[in-house]
Amino acid sequence: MFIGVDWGTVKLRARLISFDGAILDCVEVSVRLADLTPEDIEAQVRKFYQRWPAARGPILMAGMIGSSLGWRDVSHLTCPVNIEGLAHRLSYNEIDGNPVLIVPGLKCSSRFGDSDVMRGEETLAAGLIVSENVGNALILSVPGMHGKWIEISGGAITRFHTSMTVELAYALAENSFLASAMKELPVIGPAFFKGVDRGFSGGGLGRLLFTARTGVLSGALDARETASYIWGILIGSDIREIDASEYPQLYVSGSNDTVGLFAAALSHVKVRSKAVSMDHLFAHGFNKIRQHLQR
Amino acid sequence: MYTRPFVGVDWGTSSMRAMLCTPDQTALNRSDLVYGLGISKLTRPIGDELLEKIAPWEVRFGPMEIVMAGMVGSNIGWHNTGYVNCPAPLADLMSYAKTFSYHGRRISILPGARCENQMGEADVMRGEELQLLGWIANNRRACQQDLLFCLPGTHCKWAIMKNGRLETFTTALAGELFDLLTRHSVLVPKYNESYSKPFVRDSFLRGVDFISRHPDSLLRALFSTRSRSIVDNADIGDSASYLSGLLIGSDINAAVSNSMKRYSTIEIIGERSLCEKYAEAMAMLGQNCRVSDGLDSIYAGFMSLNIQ
Repeated sequence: MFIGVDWGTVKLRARLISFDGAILDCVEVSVRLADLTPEDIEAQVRKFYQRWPAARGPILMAGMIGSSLGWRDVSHLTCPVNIEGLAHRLSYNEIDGNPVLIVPGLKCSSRFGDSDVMRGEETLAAGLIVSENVGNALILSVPGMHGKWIEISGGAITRFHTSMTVELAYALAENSFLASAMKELPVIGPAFFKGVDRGFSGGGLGRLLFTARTGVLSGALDARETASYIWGILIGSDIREIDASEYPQLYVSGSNDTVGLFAAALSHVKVRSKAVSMDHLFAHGFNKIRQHLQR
Repeated sequence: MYTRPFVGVDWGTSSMRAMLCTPDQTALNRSDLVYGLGISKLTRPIGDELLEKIAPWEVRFGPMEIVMAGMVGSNIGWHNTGYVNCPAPLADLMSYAKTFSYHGRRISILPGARCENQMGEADVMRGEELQLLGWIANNRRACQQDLLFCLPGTHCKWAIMKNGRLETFTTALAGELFDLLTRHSVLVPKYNESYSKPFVRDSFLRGVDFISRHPDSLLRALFSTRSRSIVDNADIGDSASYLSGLLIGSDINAAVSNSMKRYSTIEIIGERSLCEKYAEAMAMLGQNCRVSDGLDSIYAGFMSLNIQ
């Protein structure tokens, strides 16, 4: 068994993983990476050794811990990249003589022709390639504020793009003229699907969002349904921005609430998708990368 | 024809502008203009605020007639004046005003306008109808044609007029999205001076270019504000200007592509520097346009009301 940690900007999840990819134990720590000194980070890693003395071999880490905000600034690899490619370019470090390896993030030229970057999701995508045994697939990762649509072809991560969907939904709910009407959490129902249809049909996001106000004025929408409707518009628009039909299978992974909304919206617009656990994908991704190290 | 000076007040949610309207003065004299707090920011009775703002003029002319437009006529304003339904001939707007007496002054509050917009939704405006009326007064010869107007702001209004009649309009969240995303998102860095940097035209036009190549992909395009600063960190210019280009470009693309016909010229009315940004973006998209000052249009609107 070994330790694999995905460490993002606001929280980390550390797992004790068996050599066949099963999760034996898991801890989550909420901490802002930007507030930590290198000594704080090393102290945190020592706690993993103390918690799991039976762990063997190097600790594997992925995510923003490998950025300029984190512990070591590891250069992004350029797509396409397969699992072997990731394993060969790990950043080698030590704490108290124990090896600590960081999986590099990726950069690519997105389907929109501009550059994009990610850290952590490469390990998640590696886990999907292994555990679902897929060569060509699309995976949407929505753990927090920014969703990544990751394209996998021929067993390699070929490109991806990031979307503002979730962060914009929260910003509208907290600080816009719709804030007072968006106190309720979104629910999957008629108002949500009406929003999905609107967003999926396109036509200018700014004017689509304003229909949340005019819908209430005209009585077509109940003010308490505003949050559901707005989330529907944003998710419908996000799905429209990528042509999911190019891939035989779409997987969705992330925080439970958001994954549920995306899965319902995808099914509403007749795109088949399968929800997969983030923990499961990270464990298999770390394990496969570890196996490549031993060869 | 009303021959005495009166006060015109455009009172919106976030700001108020009162102007002295003098019958022999065809254009607004900027020294006869005062600004005040918007409806949502008032901390004392609206009547007190109004009388204090216009006091210097009343010293000269005595108690004055007051005509008001904007959110002051809404359910968060002073008196709810309702809406005129589109298609609406704006020339007789005054006949739908709500008139009342306040400390010896006659006050009239104009109605807003209501329509079914291009997406089949009910839509409303308050204040912009007066600017449109004023624009027509200043451009009598042009108003025979079908015209597309853009009135940029927090909530941008896109209006279609024909023969001086307001046919329909559509509201888009534009300025508000910009404020929201610059203040409350990861897109524009707060830690360096770029937040308060002046407008950078080149960055703005790159935003317009990106969104016009991918017009229905704003959620992805918005994030490019950040990713380009991480990956291409040399020569990215100013993030806020780039973001503005994305949002204004998206607004224009949606308005043009949703229009039933192509308009040879789009008439932009509003605050000068914001209008110039829309004009820059339209020029890049090959769309002719013309900018008219919002305050001049409001003044002309007040002056063309049929005040008895």
